[in-house]
Amino acid sequence: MPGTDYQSKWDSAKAAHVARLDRWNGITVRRFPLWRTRRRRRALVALHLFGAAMMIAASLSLRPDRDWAVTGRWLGGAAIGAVTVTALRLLTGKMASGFGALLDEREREWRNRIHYTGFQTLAALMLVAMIYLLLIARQPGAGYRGAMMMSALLIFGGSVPTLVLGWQLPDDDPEDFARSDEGDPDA
Amino acid sequence: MSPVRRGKELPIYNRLQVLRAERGMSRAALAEAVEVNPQTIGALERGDHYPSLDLAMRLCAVFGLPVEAVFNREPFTPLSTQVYRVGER
Repeated sequence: MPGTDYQSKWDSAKAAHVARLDRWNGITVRRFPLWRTRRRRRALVALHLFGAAMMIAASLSLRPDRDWAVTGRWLGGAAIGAVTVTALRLLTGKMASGFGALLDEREREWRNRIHYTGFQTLAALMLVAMIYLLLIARQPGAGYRGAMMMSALLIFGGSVPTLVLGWQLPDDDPEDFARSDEGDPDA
Repeated sequence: MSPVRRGKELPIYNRLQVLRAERGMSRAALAEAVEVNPQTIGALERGDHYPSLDLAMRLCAVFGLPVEAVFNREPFTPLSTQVYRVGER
């Protein structure tokens, strides 16, 4: 049956893709071992919060004539946010961004928890953006200023799951990453 | 961090580390056998995560032991002490 043929092709392509991602995760999980501590991850979270504060402060001080210095500060904050979130995603593994098929029950539980927190935070931040837009609606350049504020809050809100994970995960245990052929160091 | 937890929080102790050491298994090897990530075995051993019934049964199958020999509500006595007491009887 042609339908079954397409289904089996789709299933095998999906399985191959998941296996590729799993191999990639196996490589990245061992990268930057010195940075895989809660202290370092929390430092990155703090830096990200600084970047987000920069973006929000720049959005608040934007003028209708498109002040490039303020826009530059906004972009600087966004750059800090992008770098720190990328680093945190590498350091926290696949729980914040990986496919469900790659996660086991503990990781899914973590993901559900952080995404719930992320969703609630993002909803609250969008409410803040909406109120801000209503407040500045009659001022000149309201659209531009509102868009910049909404973007800042959206970027920050979207990063919340990764930030929560980076803040809460305990230090990595080197024994977790000992390969199967190395045996148990305690044995 | 049990998948479902309501009411009073009750601990679940396990003997995974001892059983693994007895068999010379690494966390990665045990993780591979039950198809989870090695960090999850570490979390189970540290008591940071309580397994689902499915995972608990898969772990017991690897060691060929009943669930109550691997998981318990009460802390386990050291295996050597338990074996010695049985020998005394």
